[in-house]
Amino acid sequence: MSEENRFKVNLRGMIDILSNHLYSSPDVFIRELLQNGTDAISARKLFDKKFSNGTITIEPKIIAGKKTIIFSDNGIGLSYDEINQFLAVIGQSSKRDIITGRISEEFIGRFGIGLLSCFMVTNEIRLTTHSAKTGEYLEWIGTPDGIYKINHLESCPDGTSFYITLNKNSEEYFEADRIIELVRYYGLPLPFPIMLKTEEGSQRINTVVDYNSDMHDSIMSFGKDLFGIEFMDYIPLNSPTGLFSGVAYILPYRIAATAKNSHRIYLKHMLLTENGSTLLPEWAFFVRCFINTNSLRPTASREDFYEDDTLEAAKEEIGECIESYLMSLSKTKPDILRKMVSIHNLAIKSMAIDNNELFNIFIDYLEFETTSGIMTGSQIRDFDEPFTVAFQIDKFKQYSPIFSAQNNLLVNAGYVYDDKLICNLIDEYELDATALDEEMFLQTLEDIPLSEHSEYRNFLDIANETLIDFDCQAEIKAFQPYELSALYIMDEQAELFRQILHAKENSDSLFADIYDAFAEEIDNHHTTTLVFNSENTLIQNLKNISQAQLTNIIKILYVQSLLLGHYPLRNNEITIMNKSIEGLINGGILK
Amino acid sequence: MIDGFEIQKRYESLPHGELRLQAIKNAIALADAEKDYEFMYIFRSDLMSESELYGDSFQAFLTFPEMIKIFDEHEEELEKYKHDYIWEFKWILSDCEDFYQVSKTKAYELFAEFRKRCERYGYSLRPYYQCLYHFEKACDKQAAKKAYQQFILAKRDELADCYACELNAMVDYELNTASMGRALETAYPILSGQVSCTEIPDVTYNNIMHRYYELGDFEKAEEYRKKCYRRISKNSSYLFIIGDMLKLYSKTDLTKGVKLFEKHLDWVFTSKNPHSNMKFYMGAAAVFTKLAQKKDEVKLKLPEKFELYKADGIYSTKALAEYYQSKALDLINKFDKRNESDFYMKEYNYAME
Repeated sequence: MSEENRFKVNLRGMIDILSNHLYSSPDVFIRELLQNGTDAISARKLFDKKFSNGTITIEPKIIAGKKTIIFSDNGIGLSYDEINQFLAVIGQSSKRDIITGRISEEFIGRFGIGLLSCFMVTNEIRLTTHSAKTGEYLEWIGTPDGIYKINHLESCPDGTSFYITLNKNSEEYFEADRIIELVRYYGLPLPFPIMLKTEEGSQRINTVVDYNSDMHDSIMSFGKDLFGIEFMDYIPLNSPTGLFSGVAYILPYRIAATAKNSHRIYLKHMLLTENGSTLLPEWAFFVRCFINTNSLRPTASREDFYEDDTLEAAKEEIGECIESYLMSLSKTKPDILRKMVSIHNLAIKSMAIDNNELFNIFIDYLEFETTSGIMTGSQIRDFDEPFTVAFQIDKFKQYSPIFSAQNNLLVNAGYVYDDKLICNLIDEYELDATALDEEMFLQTLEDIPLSEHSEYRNFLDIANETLIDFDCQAEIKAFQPYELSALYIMDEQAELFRQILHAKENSDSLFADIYDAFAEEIDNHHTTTLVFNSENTLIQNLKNISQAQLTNIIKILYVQSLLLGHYPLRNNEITIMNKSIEGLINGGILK
Repeated sequence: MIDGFEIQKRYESLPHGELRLQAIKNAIALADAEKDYEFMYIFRSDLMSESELYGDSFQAFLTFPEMIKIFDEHEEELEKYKHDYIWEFKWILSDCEDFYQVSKTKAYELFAEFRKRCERYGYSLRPYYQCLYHFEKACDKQAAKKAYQQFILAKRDELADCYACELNAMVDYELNTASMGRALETAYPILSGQVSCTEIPDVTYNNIMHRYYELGDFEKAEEYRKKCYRRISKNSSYLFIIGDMLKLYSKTDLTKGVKLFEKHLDWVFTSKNPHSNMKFYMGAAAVFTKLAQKKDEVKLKLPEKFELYKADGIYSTKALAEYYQSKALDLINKFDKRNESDFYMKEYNYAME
């Protein structure tokens, strides 16, 4: 006997909500069917303690000339009352109920809203079901126009079988490869067999390696199969408190810290998210993880984890797993350690700044830029002379030639994490190092001999007069490399003042007044100095030229030294340089 | 011609913070040298984002007028970025709160300019009122209330903040005017993880934490402090939140307060945001003032650049307390003077109780 009924809701509207607002793609119908089957099997286990062979079988089959997927579980099945009850829930619920989780997981997973996602790929859902509780054999057929029929059957297989006749646009789901891909994506770690039945036979498609006991090669092969990458190595992720289990695979190539990694993070064996940012430590961007958790809470939208103490504990434990593996690498696989450091330099640096043990293990291998080329932490540690550290990349670049020429070591700590690591290295090993202080540096440059003072007096007077408009003073020193004619030195306050002036020049009156207020606060004693090099041939020749020519050249040297120091130029400075060059050329032509 | 997109890709692969900021500045220099107006604009826009979301907003404040000038001078070519620059103008309005150097008069002029541009392009004034509400909170409660009411009534369009940020603004308002229960109910979509964005729920957690702290419910405050800290502990643009957490610790756990201070003092040295600095100084003043009542000295590992640096790491708690009281009060007075209120002095007094 069959009964025709109508859904007590705008079913089309509900399908629209699901497909356009809740589900990102029709692929999810596989997820919903998997969830449905999982819940049915779990329910049967609770009902029947002897039941232990839960299985889901998926069979793509041509039925009446149409491509159909038969999705079967041998779970608890549905009774007549249950079918109607769930449909009543669909009728009364709203999108808010879905989002806020007012409708429980069970309803979503079992014959309920989630199932309606199938209407994204079919125009008819047909199922047969045998209720383990009531013994009823039923057939249910529903269509998107809101009509459904329930028939009583003589018999049907245990559990529930869904017959999804694919519409024209969804025939891709008939392909075995596509089914395997989606089942593995959404439900790979499900703890019972998911069988794909084809003409060739049946095969289990959700086999997961045992990452605690299986052979290394099998685990690596599993990772390659899962992510399509030949990884460098793997790290078993075993929570001591049972919060999660899984494996982290180490990428064989460098990856940006900000790159979006695709992990496979499962909650109760069903995919929750590919995004690891909530669960994994920030520095773990060099791994891809396959993790299952049964203990963490999802957000109401079920797209990520709810942030609570348990999540925090899980995150810490994952971090500890990775850290302890890295610590063991130094003893068990030093070659992999070296390779890892060279490829994942940044990730390791970011870990090492907060973790003393990792710092101690890795610092020897970590690389830093210096005036003696790239040096490892151990080389810097073993450097037995005083050295200087530049905490800004531009300062390092600006002063490198001088330090090199003087055979003094300058270490670049301007890159991210390097500043802390270098400071830790200096503190830990009590190294004789000082921060680059430009004022102090100036004092270390050699004074010119007393006998040359008078030769340069006129030069310096004119230079100071010329540079007064640039808020800069002139000095003459002797330093290597002699090719460097002048060096521009600016302290932090002066740099800030310059930035503000630059901004003011490029703004309208609305902002110009604001910048005046900022500029007023800068300490008046900020210093900028243009240090001329008495060892440089050009500077030596400038002692004897005319004032007009000297003024032009000083302006050119001033702007040139700004450019060498990577300082942004103020509006007038390029113009001044161009005019000065013009002046020189004209002077040369007219001679 | 420069390959601007390739340059952009390169700096986008860098971690957020000073390194990326410097890379973008280099990109700007390249674009300026080539007079590539589009990338002169794009790189400056990226600099603004980086400075606002991962820095102290100071660079953004310096860059914005240049960016507007480039846009205005090449409006026809850059018209497609109209929405972006107006959006970034919103950030500048928010920055007015943080920089006391922007007088109230100037701030209102900026608001007026923003309003003019919104009206010119047909945008709703919803974000204008939202920003005005935030600005007036520390100045004039009545004006803040009025601005908020106008914010709520104005139409939402593509210039409005994301839903998460707007909801946060509503929660913020209710925390200060309605009951805690009501504020938490409004905050439910944020707290349950349904809505989020770059700054939410971080800022929301802090707002709730701060309100519980003000109400004396330190247990609840600590609950939200924990949720907040795990999200913000590596982002120096949240220096002001560290300050709020220090204030909480000054009343609950001085040992943890000292540790937090030690861990984040570095952030102050690179911050040019006076509001954030003020909050940190306030928190530090509260911690060390209370600590000085219990012990004379404390052992700390602080960077050499710290003004009171001691090589042996032993610091007088009284000296630290006085130092931070002085620094805090200096900025508090400047902000309250600009705001024509005693908003921050009241906050300071409660912290010192």
